[in-house]
Amino acid sequence: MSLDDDSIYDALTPGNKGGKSWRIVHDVRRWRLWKRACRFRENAVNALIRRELLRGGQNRLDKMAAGIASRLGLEDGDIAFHLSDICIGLYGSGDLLFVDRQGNPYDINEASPINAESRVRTYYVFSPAEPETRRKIAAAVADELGVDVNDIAV
Amino acid sequence: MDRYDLIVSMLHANDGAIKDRTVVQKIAYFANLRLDIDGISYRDYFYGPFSREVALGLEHLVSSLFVRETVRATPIEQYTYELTEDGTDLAAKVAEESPQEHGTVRSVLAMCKEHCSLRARPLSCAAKVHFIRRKEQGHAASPPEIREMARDFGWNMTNEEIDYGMTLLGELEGPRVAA
Repeated sequence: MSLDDDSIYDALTPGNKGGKSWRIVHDVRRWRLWKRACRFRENAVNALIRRELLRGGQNRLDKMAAGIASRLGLEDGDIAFHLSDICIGLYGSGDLLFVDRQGNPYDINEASPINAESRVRTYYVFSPAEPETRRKIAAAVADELGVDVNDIAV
Repeated sequence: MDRYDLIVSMLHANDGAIKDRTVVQKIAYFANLRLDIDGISYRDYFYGPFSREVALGLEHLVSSLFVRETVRATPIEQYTYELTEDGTDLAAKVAEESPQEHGTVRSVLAMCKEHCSLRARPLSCAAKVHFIRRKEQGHAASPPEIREMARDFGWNMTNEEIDYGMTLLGELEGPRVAA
Protein backbone atom coordinates (compact mmCIF):
# COMPACT_ATOMS: atom_id res chain seq x y z
CA MET A 1 0.00 0.00 0.00
CA SER A 2 1.37 3.41 -0.88
CA LEU A 3 1.05 6.04 1.76
CA ASP A 4 -0.58 8.81 -0.22
CA ASP A 5 -3.42 10.85 1.29
CA ASP A 6 -6.18 8.82 -0.37
CA SER A 7 -4.89 5.43 0.77
CA ILE A 8 -4.56 6.67 4.36
CA TYR A 9 -8.07 8.08 4.12
CA ASP A 10 -9.42 4.77 2.80
CA ALA A 11 -7.58 2.77 5.48
CA LEU A 12 -9.02 4.91 8.24
CA THR A 13 -12.57 4.93 6.96
CA PRO A 14 -13.42 1.51 5.53
CA GLY A 15 -17.18 1.31 5.04
CA ASN A 16 -17.83 3.47 8.07
CA LYS A 17 -19.11 6.67 6.53
CA GLY A 18 -20.45 8.92 9.25
CA GLY A 19 -18.49 7.20 12.05
CA LYS A 20 -16.15 9.00 14.46
CA SER A 21 -12.95 8.24 12.50
CA TRP A 22 -14.57 9.16 9.20
CA ARG A 23 -15.81 12.44 10.64
CA ILE A 24 -12.41 13.42 12.04
CA VAL A 25 -10.56 12.58 8.82
CA HIS A 26 -13.27 14.24 6.73
CA ASP A 27 -12.96 17.44 8.78
CA VAL A 28 -9.17 17.41 8.44
CA ARG A 29 -9.48 17.03 4.65
CA ARG A 30 -11.85 19.97 4.53
CA TRP A 31 -9.46 21.96 6.70
CA ARG A 32 -12.01 22.17 9.52
CA LEU A 33 -9.37 21.86 12.16
CA TRP A 34 -9.87 21.80 15.90
CA LYS A 35 -8.70 24.63 18.08
CA ARG A 36 -7.75 25.00 21.69
CA ALA A 37 -10.77 25.50 23.92
CA CYS A 38 -8.67 26.22 27.01
CA ARG A 39 -5.47 25.49 28.85
CA PHE A 40 -4.49 25.50 32.54
CA ARG A 41 -1.61 24.46 34.75
CA GLU A 42 -2.01 21.12 36.53
CA ASN A 43 -1.67 22.73 39.94
CA ALA A 44 -4.86 24.72 39.24
CA VAL A 45 -6.91 21.49 39.31
CA ASN A 46 -8.71 20.67 42.55
CA ALA A 47 -6.54 18.25 44.59
CA LEU A 48 -9.20 15.54 44.93
CA ILE A 49 -9.83 15.57 41.20
CA ARG A 50 -6.08 15.46 40.61
CA ARG A 51 -6.04 12.30 42.72
CA GLU A 52 -8.75 10.80 40.48
CA LEU A 53 -6.75 11.71 37.39
CA LEU A 54 -3.61 10.23 38.93
CA ARG A 55 -5.40 6.94 39.46
CA GLY A 56 -7.35 6.86 36.20
CA GLY A 57 -4.86 8.42 33.78
CA GLN A 58 -5.87 9.11 30.18
CA ASN A 59 -8.95 6.83 30.48
CA ARG A 60 -10.33 9.07 33.21
CA LEU A 61 -9.66 12.16 31.08
CA ASP A 62 -11.37 10.57 28.08
CA LYS A 63 -14.42 9.72 30.21
CA MET A 64 -14.49 13.28 31.53
CA ALA A 65 -14.31 14.62 27.97
CA ALA A 66 -17.14 12.31 26.87
CA GLY A 67 -19.28 13.42 29.83
CA ILE A 68 -18.76 17.11 29.07
CA ALA A 69 -19.47 16.54 25.35
CA SER A 70 -22.69 14.74 26.22
CA ARG A 71 -23.84 17.51 28.58
CA LEU A 72 -23.16 20.18 25.98
CA GLY A 73 -24.96 18.24 23.25
CA LEU A 74 -21.76 17.62 21.25
CA GLU A 75 -20.76 14.45 19.44
CA ASP A 76 -18.82 11.81 21.34
CA GLY A 77 -15.15 12.52 20.61
CA ASP A 78 -15.62 16.25 20.03
CA ILE A 79 -13.48 17.12 23.06
CA ALA A 80 -9.91 15.95 23.63
CA PHE A 81 -7.75 16.48 26.72
CA HIS A 82 -3.98 16.48 26.51
CA LEU A 83 -1.55 16.75 29.40
CA SER A 84 1.70 18.34 28.28
CA ASP A 85 4.67 17.55 30.52
CA ILE A 86 7.67 19.71 29.73
CA CYS A 87 10.84 19.61 31.73
CA ILE A 88 12.25 23.03 30.99
CA GLY A 89 15.36 22.71 33.10
CA LEU A 90 18.64 22.04 31.37
CA TYR A 91 19.66 19.78 34.20
CA GLY A 92 18.41 18.50 37.54
CA SER A 93 20.09 19.43 40.77
CA GLY A 94 21.67 15.97 41.01
CA ASP A 95 23.04 15.94 37.45
CA LEU A 96 26.14 18.01 38.03
CA LEU A 97 28.43 18.25 41.00
CA PHE A 98 29.30 21.84 41.87
CA VAL A 99 32.20 22.42 44.20
CA ASP A 100 33.56 25.61 45.71
CA ARG A 101 37.21 26.68 45.65
CA GLN A 102 37.90 24.46 48.64
CA GLY A 103 36.39 21.45 46.86
CA ASN A 104 33.27 21.35 49.01
CA PRO A 105 30.09 20.40 47.14
CA TYR A 106 27.16 22.81 47.17
CA ASP A 107 23.64 22.73 45.83
CA ILE A 108 23.06 23.69 42.20
CA ASN A 109 20.20 25.97 43.22
CA GLU A 110 22.81 28.24 44.69
CA ALA A 111 24.60 28.34 41.35
CA SER A 112 21.85 28.50 38.76
CA PRO A 113 18.08 28.90 38.64
CA ILE A 114 17.92 26.93 35.38
CA ASN A 115 17.25 23.46 36.65
CA ALA A 116 14.66 20.71 36.43
CA GLU A 117 12.53 22.09 39.24
CA SER A 118 10.94 24.41 36.71
CA ARG A 119 8.92 21.52 35.27
CA VAL A 120 5.70 22.60 33.60
CA ARG A 121 2.62 20.40 33.33
CA THR A 122 -0.25 21.93 31.43
CA TYR A 123 -3.62 20.59 30.37
CA TYR A 124 -4.80 21.49 26.88
CA VAL A 125 -8.41 20.92 25.80
CA PHE A 126 -9.14 20.82 22.08
CA SER A 127 -12.49 20.94 20.30
CA PRO A 128 -14.19 22.02 17.06
CA ALA A 129 -13.34 25.60 16.21
CA GLU A 130 -16.62 27.48 16.75
CA PRO A 131 -15.90 30.21 19.35
CA GLU A 132 -19.18 29.74 21.21
CA THR A 133 -18.63 25.97 21.52
CA ARG A 134 -15.10 26.53 22.81
CA ARG A 135 -16.31 29.07 25.34
CA LYS A 136 -18.92 26.62 26.68
CA ILE A 137 -16.35 23.83 26.83
CA ALA A 138 -13.89 26.00 28.74
CA ALA A 139 -16.57 26.86 31.30
CA ALA A 140 -17.64 23.21 31.64
CA VAL A 141 -14.04 22.02 32.01
CA ALA A 142 -13.36 24.63 34.72
CA ASP A 143 -16.45 23.46 36.57
CA GLU A 144 -15.69 19.74 36.19
CA LEU A 145 -12.05 19.99 37.29
CA GLY A 146 -12.58 22.60 39.99
CA VAL A 147 -10.32 25.11 38.24
CA ASP A 148 -10.72 28.76 39.18
CA VAL A 149 -11.81 30.80 36.14
CA ASN A 150 -8.86 33.11 36.74
CA ASP A 151 -6.47 30.18 36.26
CA ILE A 152 -7.90 29.08 32.94
CA ALA A 153 -6.74 30.56 29.64
CA VAL A 154 -8.64 30.26 26.37
CA MET B 1 -5.67 1.42 49.41
CA ASP B 2 -3.58 1.62 46.24
CA ARG B 3 0.12 2.30 45.65
CA TYR B 4 -0.39 6.07 45.74
CA ASP B 5 -2.23 5.85 49.06
CA LEU B 6 0.52 3.61 50.42
CA ILE B 7 3.26 6.10 49.55
CA VAL B 8 1.48 9.17 50.96
CA SER B 9 0.62 7.19 54.11
CA MET B 10 4.28 6.27 54.56
CA LEU B 11 5.41 9.88 54.20
CA HIS B 12 2.63 11.09 56.48
CA ALA B 13 3.59 8.52 59.12
CA ASN B 14 7.12 9.95 59.17
CA ASP B 15 6.12 13.59 59.75
CA GLY B 16 5.63 14.19 56.04
CA ALA B 17 9.02 13.24 54.62
CA ILE B 18 11.36 10.31 53.97
CA LYS B 19 14.98 10.54 52.89
CA ASP B 20 16.32 8.12 50.30
CA ARG B 21 14.55 6.23 47.53
CA THR B 22 15.81 2.89 48.87
CA VAL B 23 14.14 3.58 52.23
CA VAL B 24 10.84 4.34 50.47
CA GLN B 25 11.11 1.09 48.52
CA LYS B 26 11.92 -1.05 51.57
CA ILE B 27 9.24 0.38 53.85
CA ALA B 28 6.74 -0.11 51.03
CA TYR B 29 8.00 -3.71 50.75
CA PHE B 30 7.46 -4.47 54.43
CA ALA B 31 4.11 -2.65 54.59
CA ASN B 32 2.90 -4.48 51.53
CA LEU B 33 3.64 -7.83 53.16
CA ARG B 34 0.70 -6.97 55.45
CA LEU B 35 -1.44 -5.10 52.95
CA ASP B 36 -0.94 -7.12 49.75
CA ILE B 37 -1.98 -4.22 47.53
CA ASP B 38 -3.13 -5.10 44.02
CA GLY B 39 -0.66 -4.32 41.27
CA ILE B 40 2.52 -4.12 43.35
CA SER B 41 5.13 -6.71 42.46
CA TYR B 42 8.78 -7.10 43.40
CA ARG B 43 11.88 -8.32 41.63
CA ASP B 44 15.46 -8.62 42.79
CA TYR B 45 17.55 -5.51 42.33
CA PHE B 46 20.95 -4.29 43.48
CA TYR B 47 19.65 -2.91 46.79
CA GLY B 48 17.21 -5.77 47.41
CA PRO B 49 13.60 -6.27 46.31
CA PHE B 50 12.44 -3.45 44.05
CA SER B 51 8.97 -2.56 42.85
CA ARG B 52 8.68 -0.71 39.56
CA GLU B 53 5.08 0.15 40.48
CA VAL B 54 6.16 1.88 43.70
CA ALA B 55 8.94 3.76 41.87
CA LEU B 56 6.52 4.94 39.17
CA GLY B 57 3.87 5.76 41.78
CA LEU B 58 6.34 7.99 43.58
CA GLU B 59 7.27 9.67 40.31
CA HIS B 60 3.60 10.25 39.45
CA LEU B 61 2.93 11.73 42.89
CA VAL B 62 5.83 14.12 42.36
CA SER B 63 4.65 15.17 38.91
CA SER B 64 1.07 15.60 40.20
CA LEU B 65 2.35 17.93 42.92
CA PHE B 66 1.37 15.79 45.91
CA VAL B 67 5.01 15.06 46.78
CA ARG B 68 8.07 17.30 46.49
CA GLU B 69 11.34 15.70 45.47
CA THR B 70 14.57 17.39 46.41
CA VAL B 71 18.00 16.23 45.40
CA ARG B 72 21.03 17.20 47.38
CA ALA B 73 24.11 17.30 45.20
CA THR B 74 26.60 15.80 47.59
CA PRO B 75 29.06 13.26 46.13
CA ILE B 76 26.24 10.71 46.46
CA GLU B 77 22.86 12.04 45.31
CA GLN B 78 20.44 12.25 48.21
CA TYR B 79 16.77 12.25 47.33
CA THR B 80 14.21 13.45 49.86
CA TYR B 81 10.46 13.03 49.38
CA GLU B 82 8.16 15.38 51.23
CA LEU B 83 4.38 15.81 51.18
CA THR B 84 3.18 19.11 49.75
CA GLU B 85 0.16 20.84 51.26
CA ASP B 86 -2.12 18.95 48.83
CA GLY B 87 -0.23 15.74 49.66
CA THR B 88 -0.85 16.25 53.38
CA ASP B 89 -4.56 16.74 52.68
CA LEU B 90 -4.52 13.61 50.56
CA ALA B 91 -2.84 11.60 53.34
CA ALA B 92 -5.50 12.78 55.78
CA LYS B 93 -8.17 11.67 53.32
CA VAL B 94 -6.51 8.24 52.98
CA ALA B 95 -6.37 7.89 56.78
CA GLU B 96 -10.09 8.64 56.89
CA GLU B 97 -10.96 6.26 54.03
CA SER B 98 -8.69 3.36 55.02
CA PRO B 99 -7.97 3.66 58.76
CA GLN B 100 -6.86 0.06 59.23
CA GLU B 101 -4.40 0.06 56.32
CA HIS B 102 -3.13 3.49 57.32
CA GLY B 103 -2.57 2.15 60.85
CA THR B 104 -0.62 -0.81 59.47
CA VAL B 105 1.67 1.52 57.51
CA ARG B 106 2.23 3.66 60.62
CA SER B 107 3.01 0.57 62.66
CA VAL B 108 5.54 -0.83 60.15
CA LEU B 109 7.22 2.54 59.80
CA ALA B 110 7.41 3.02 63.56
CA MET B 111 9.03 -0.40 63.90
CA CYS B 112 11.62 0.36 61.19
CA LYS B 113 12.32 3.69 62.81
CA GLU B 114 12.75 2.20 66.25
CA HIS B 115 15.12 -0.55 65.17
CA CYS B 116 17.25 1.06 62.46
CA SER B 117 16.35 4.78 62.37
CA LEU B 118 15.15 4.33 58.77
CA ARG B 119 18.66 3.71 57.48
CA ALA B 120 18.80 2.21 54.01
CA ARG B 121 21.40 -0.49 54.60
CA PRO B 122 19.73 -2.44 57.44
CA LEU B 123 16.36 -2.14 55.75
CA SER B 124 17.90 -3.40 52.54
CA CYS B 125 19.53 -6.37 54.36
CA ALA B 126 16.27 -7.33 56.05
CA ALA B 127 14.34 -7.09 52.77
CA LYS B 128 16.95 -9.23 51.00
CA VAL B 129 16.76 -11.91 53.71
CA HIS B 130 12.98 -11.92 53.55
CA PHE B 131 12.98 -12.06 49.74
CA ILE B 132 15.34 -15.05 49.76
CA ARG B 133 13.32 -16.90 52.42
CA ARG B 134 10.11 -16.24 50.51
CA LYS B 135 11.63 -17.77 47.40
CA GLU B 136 12.42 -20.82 49.50
CA GLN B 137 8.74 -21.05 50.40
CA GLY B 138 8.97 -21.25 54.15
CA HIS B 139 12.22 -23.18 54.46
CA ALA B 140 14.03 -21.71 57.48
CA ALA B 141 17.35 -21.22 55.73
CA SER B 142 20.44 -20.84 57.91
CA PRO B 143 22.70 -17.78 57.52
CA PRO B 144 25.28 -19.70 55.40
CA GLU B 145 22.46 -20.96 53.18
CA ILE B 146 21.07 -17.43 52.86
CA ARG B 147 24.51 -16.15 51.95
CA GLU B 148 24.78 -18.79 49.25
CA MET B 149 21.31 -18.11 47.89
CA ALA B 150 21.93 -14.35 47.92
CA ARG B 151 24.63 -14.89 45.31
CA ASP B 152 21.95 -16.20 42.92
CA PHE B 153 20.43 -12.73 43.02
CA GLY B 154 23.80 -11.02 42.62
CA TRP B 155 23.87 -9.95 46.28
CA ASN B 156 27.18 -10.43 48.03
CA MET B 157 26.00 -10.33 51.65
CA THR B 158 28.38 -10.53 54.60
CA ASN B 159 27.53 -12.61 57.68
CA GLU B 160 27.13 -9.37 59.61
CA GLU B 161 24.59 -8.07 57.09
CA ILE B 162 22.66 -11.34 57.22
CA ASP B 163 22.60 -11.29 61.03
CA TYR B 164 21.50 -7.67 61.02
CA GLY B 165 18.84 -8.41 58.42
CA MET B 166 17.54 -11.43 60.34
CA THR B 167 17.36 -9.48 63.59
CA LEU B 168 15.44 -6.61 62.04
CA LEU B 169 13.23 -9.05 60.17
CA GLY B 170 12.50 -10.85 63.44
CA GLU B 171 11.32 -7.55 64.91
CA LEU B 172 9.25 -6.70 61.86
CA GLU B 173 7.65 -10.13 61.72
CA GLY B 174 6.83 -10.00 65.41
CA PRO B 175 3.30 -9.72 66.73
CA ARG B 176 3.57 -5.96 67.23
CA VAL B 177 3.50 -5.37 63.45
CA ALA B 178 0.41 -7.46 62.83
CA ALA B 179 -2.51 -5.47 61.42
